[in-house]
Amino acid sequence: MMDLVILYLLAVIQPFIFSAIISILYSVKKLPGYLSVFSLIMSTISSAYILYSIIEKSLNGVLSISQFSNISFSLSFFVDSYTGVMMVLVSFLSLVIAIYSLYYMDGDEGYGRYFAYFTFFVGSMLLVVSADNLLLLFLGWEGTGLASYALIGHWRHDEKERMIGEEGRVVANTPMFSYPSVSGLRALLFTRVPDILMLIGIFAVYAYTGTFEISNIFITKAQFLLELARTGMLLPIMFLLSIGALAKSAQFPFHEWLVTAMTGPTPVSALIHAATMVKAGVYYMVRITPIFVYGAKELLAENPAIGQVVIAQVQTFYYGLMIIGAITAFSLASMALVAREAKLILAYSTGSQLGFMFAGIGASIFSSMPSLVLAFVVAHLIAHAVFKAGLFLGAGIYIHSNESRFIDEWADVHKMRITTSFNWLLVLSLAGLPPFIGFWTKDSLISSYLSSGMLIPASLLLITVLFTAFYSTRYLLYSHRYPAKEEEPHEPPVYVLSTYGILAILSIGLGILWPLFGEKLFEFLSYSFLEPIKGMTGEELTVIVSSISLVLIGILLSSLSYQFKFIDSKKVISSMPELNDFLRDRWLINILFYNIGVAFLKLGELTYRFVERGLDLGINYGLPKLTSNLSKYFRKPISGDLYSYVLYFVTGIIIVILVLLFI
Amino acid sequence: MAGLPPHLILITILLTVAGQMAIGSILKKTKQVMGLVVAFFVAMSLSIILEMFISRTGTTLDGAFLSSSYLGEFNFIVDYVSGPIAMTILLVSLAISIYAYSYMEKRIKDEGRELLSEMKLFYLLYYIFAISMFASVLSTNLVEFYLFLEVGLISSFVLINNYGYGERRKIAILYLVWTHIGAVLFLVGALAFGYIYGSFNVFDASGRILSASSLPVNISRLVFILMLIGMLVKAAAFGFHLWLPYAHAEAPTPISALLSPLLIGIGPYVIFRFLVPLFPAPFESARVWLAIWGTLTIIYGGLNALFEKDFKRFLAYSSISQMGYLITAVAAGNIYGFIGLIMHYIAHAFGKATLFGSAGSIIYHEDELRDMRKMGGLLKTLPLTGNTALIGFFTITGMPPTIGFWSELFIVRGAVDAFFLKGSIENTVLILLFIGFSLSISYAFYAYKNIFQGPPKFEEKVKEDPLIVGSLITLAIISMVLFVIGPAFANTLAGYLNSLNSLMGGA
Repeated sequence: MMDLVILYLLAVIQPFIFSAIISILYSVKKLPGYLSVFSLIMSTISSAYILYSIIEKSLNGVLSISQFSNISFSLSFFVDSYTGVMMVLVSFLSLVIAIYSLYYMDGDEGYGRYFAYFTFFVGSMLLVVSADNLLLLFLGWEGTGLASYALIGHWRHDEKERMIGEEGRVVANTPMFSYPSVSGLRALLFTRVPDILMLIGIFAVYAYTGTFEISNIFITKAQFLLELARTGMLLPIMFLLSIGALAKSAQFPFHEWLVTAMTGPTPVSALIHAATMVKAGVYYMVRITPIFVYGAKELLAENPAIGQVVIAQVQTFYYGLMIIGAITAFSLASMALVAREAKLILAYSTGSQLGFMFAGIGASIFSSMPSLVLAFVVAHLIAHAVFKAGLFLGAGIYIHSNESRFIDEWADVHKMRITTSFNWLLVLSLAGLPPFIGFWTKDSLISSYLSSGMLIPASLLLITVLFTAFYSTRYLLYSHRYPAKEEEPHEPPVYVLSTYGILAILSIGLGILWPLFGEKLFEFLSYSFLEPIKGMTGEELTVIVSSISLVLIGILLSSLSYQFKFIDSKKVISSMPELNDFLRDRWLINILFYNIGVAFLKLGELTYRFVERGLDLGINYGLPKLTSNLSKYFRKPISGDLYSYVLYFVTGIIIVILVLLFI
Repeated sequence: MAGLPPHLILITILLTVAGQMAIGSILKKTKQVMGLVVAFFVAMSLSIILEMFISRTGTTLDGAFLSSSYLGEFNFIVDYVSGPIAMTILLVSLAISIYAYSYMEKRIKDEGRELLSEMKLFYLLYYIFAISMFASVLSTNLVEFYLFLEVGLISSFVLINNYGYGERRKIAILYLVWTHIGAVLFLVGALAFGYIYGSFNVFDASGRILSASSLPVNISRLVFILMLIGMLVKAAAFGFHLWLPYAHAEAPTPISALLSPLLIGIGPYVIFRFLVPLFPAPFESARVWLAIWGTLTIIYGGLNALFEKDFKRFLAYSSISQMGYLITAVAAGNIYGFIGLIMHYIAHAFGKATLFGSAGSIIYHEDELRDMRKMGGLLKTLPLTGNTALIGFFTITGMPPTIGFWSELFIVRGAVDAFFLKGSIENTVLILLFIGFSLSISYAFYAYKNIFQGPPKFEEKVKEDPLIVGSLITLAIISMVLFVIGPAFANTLAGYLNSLNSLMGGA
């Protein structure tokens, strides 16, 4: 156990200490970057060793390092397959991105600050994926929010080249472009505000269960659901617990923050999309889903009457999640079809893929083996993390060498042979072509959608598969139509190439090896979701065929329009200007949020002008004026004139006498 | 208490105040005057640290120094509740006293006054102001508390009147009248209480809270309401807040940094320390309404802050909003709410002092600039100020890694424990609290964006004054260090409050 304590401290707590050290030494040239890489290497090695111990000793439990029993807070960590895998994934990808950042951020004025927040970010994310105590998880959760705020707004002075969107594009009253400082603020508001609801939810859970430890809630889950159902709070509590995750994982309609978050440095986008932040939401939802899914099943066995009600409510909720996931996947993929900016395409695709994952979480309740479906989700999370990190790192190189963030201003990228080859491997993985890893994991998810029997979300998601194949290949094919520049484009240094090179090779290598270890991975992961799976039924052929054919149609369409120029894409677009604008303007969701912000500012103004000003004038100015006027009135008779004083005196005496007489 | 001289705190207070008067008046250099104040703050801190750590039970009494059959006993109590608050007052005052050196020197010179004598007067008043707040939170007796509070009021009144901005005389009077009314309401309540109850003591000689349940119900309710309103005026709760934006914005910035978090926070603190245990029944019935009032204060302050364009007035509205959190925390009426109150007092003290300090830094470096519309991109011009202000905003909005994270956690926990699923009014509290939190985050980071981020409006980088940024960085670092020890502190505090449970009235 002692070993594990040290390993967890080294993996999870150590990055925070390094982050503090980096912030002290922020101005020492180059050192912050090296410190950060060193810290992440330690973290990766410790995480790998933790995963190794978990596999070796088949550990499945909780490690409690320190207890604060009076406030029910503890430094307790999960020691199970899910946490082990996630820790390795997060720390490894962050390490790769950090190495890339050494090159990308070189010479930036905020070099030290960048790595301080970067390391803090990774530490927070590791805390999220390992914490057993909900308060500890929430601490990491807020840490990721803080770091993303700082990193998205890293370029704090809003230089023009840092913006995202088309400058000056305003729809209704809403600017459709964004600058770093605005994007940071939006990311913070979009994620922090729902987090308060989540916090309320966590404390409400405590009121029912008397514990913040997720592992303890697992034990009493049936009792917990029973109490919830009895007080009629099942749906509200589920809502409170998941709203934070929906916002953090940029599910519709909260995806807006993720889109504008592209103003951050490219490696930050890679970090947010692949390893940290948006994955936190998925991680957390998968982590707590067994409480509801298996809790309802357990309750059904114990107490069929209430169990029926509970399971119906849980199903309703998860069906809602599935719908949200499907809408997210579909809407963001549709936006990616027409996007011009490289990073925006990738951002839409992240949101879309997260939609796939949420739909998978939603579908789990309808499966006979929910833990298997959750394992599918996690597998897709891993696959997506690997190829999306690589894609962003590659996009950074393209943007850098072409000095433009628009793919229609890129000269033929295929001149950069090595970089583009790696990017093709990553893109095809995103497209979901066999034998890339993206294919296998997406395929498992699709089979779970289809077997859930929920036709509306499932068909939306199937269309999205087609869209995905189209926009992902379009991303690299687009620049074919532009001639290369005169001079040979420069490939970056080898260590930079190797960062996304490794990820590209992983995404095909793991894909090829998938038939060998895929099922074992599912089995291994399912141990964390309360129902270990032993031996699986094979994939249905129809699913594989339909998914491959959709992918192929998508790729065919995109190569017809961009590679062989068989279809004139510009003409197609110009024939549907309204649809094009609708997609370019992100389904106009931004208008809603922008105007909520404007409304609050207006409300502040109205409060100030009418309430505050009124009270202020009335009490601080009116009251003194009133009393001074009154005193003027009272003072009038006191004129200093002796004659009138005698008059008052006599009148006074007469009044006193009269009063005395009548009493 | 073995080994400690009795009256350690009292003696330190008397000696240092006398020392500031005597030695301060003969010093020849302004830096020496500042050094003297700093030394006295350190001495004061040492005395209370000694008392905190020598005690075994968690409660130490300094020794009664005034005792009469009618007034009861004046004493100082140091325990896990008052100790950290008193320490906060000293630490913030200490850091700001260094800050004030550069700031006030410029201010006095700008006004064309004689530097040395004015600095002497300023530091003397400053020290008296800080120490009176310090003494008031340690008070064990209602009259004693009132006395120290009024000393603080008078000294801060003079400070605003002498060194403030704008229509400072008018504003000083406004401040004096409003908060004096609050204090007098408290005094009337306290006198009625003492007259009927026979003593003004809140704690007995061994530090236990006396119970006032022998009071007739209607009288205890009246007394409770008087004292409560008095403290709500002090805390600038919604409706009684009208003095605050003026006083805190127009006071010289070092004084704003003390007034805003430290002085007004004493209101909710006293509600928790004196009123909750003395009047459990009236408190219990007023709790929900107090919570509604608190949450409305959060929202009202937040909305005004969202609109306000003057940086210091903006911070003043933010303080009103923050006082709403403290009131809501105490209204939760359970241990977690009380922990939230104490931690948020501390968090707000360090956070808001940092923020007022950074506002002052802009005033100092950028030619009296206060209008947020004329600011922008100041991180480029004043990077250290900007970065510490960010920590300040993190602290008051409850983000890690600052103590504010824990205080927010406990306030929400206290509120959920007290109000979740209890009824529709109770649920309204939670909804309002949620809106309030959202507003706090919005105004804080919206303002931060407008002031410090964006295209720079001032091109050249200014060399920031080392004393000013040094003290700001110190405050910010303390706030982050407190984050690390937060759970351990809250755990100890929870244990201590649990042990007091029988004495905590309704909790």
